[in-house]
Amino acid sequence: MANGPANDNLGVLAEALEQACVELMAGYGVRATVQPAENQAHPPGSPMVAAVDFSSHQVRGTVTFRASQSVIAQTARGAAGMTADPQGFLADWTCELTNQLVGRMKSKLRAYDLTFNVNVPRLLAQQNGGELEHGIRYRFVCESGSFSGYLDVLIQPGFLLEHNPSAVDSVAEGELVIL
Amino acid sequence: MAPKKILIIDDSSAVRHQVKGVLAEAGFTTLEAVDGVDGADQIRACADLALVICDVNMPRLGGLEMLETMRDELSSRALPVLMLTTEADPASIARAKSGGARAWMVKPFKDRLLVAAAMKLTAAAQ
Repeated sequence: MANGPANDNLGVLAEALEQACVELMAGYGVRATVQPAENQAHPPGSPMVAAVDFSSHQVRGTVTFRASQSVIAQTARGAAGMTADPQGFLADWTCELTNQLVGRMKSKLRAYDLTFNVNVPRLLAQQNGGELEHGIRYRFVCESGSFSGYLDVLIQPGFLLEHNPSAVDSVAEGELVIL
Repeated sequence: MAPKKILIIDDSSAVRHQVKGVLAEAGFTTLEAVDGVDGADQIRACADLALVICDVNMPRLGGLEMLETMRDELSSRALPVLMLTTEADPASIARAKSGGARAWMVKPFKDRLLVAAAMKLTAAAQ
């Protein structure tokens, strides 16, 4: 991913996905590093996979989050109030993380005047080592294993994501607003 | 004095567990609902609720739709609602305010801030 503002639709979306993945993990105290394009294969194992569909007039698609169970458990241990053994929550927590990933992407894309409706997350059948086929994907590693963010998207012909610095969210992650 | 009762509406059992853990530590008792339909039923069934904490994006009935459905009832009971969600869309926040929500917090939440919000909103509701 190039530094600086991305200047094409897929570049903007890819940048939002990559940053959202890193920030999602950082929110739970997990430092993640993106892997180079030639090192995208996952180690064998039984990962957790969840997806969220999104849609607007201009774009629609699916964000998929795939992570080793150890990564899911590590984020759960970093979550406020999570006192139970995270093993009992892995599937549900994977869906919640995917939901939060899309929320972060949505916040970033608001700076391009793009907003969309988000469906509820759905757990996908676990993939045994095989790689998912998606348009945009990033694989990351962290202390407890690896995870990936994937994006499939259809963009209305002629639509262009243009940066609008004034179109930003009024509430940041973790912030409270009294209405 | 009996501990104040808070209804947590979220389709994620992990999030409900999180919120319940944080609020229990602060001395609140909690009830749980899995979506807006379940949440509306429990609001109607429980007369002594002090606060509702509600997700936005849920199956069957989302949090904003539930707010709009329950607006008059929530208002007549002066029952405050805190929206706890991954969404930070200004239009959704404005819609929540119009529906009678009193606060909006974006996940992942910080335990101290959630407790502070619960204290403030339940105190104001008395």
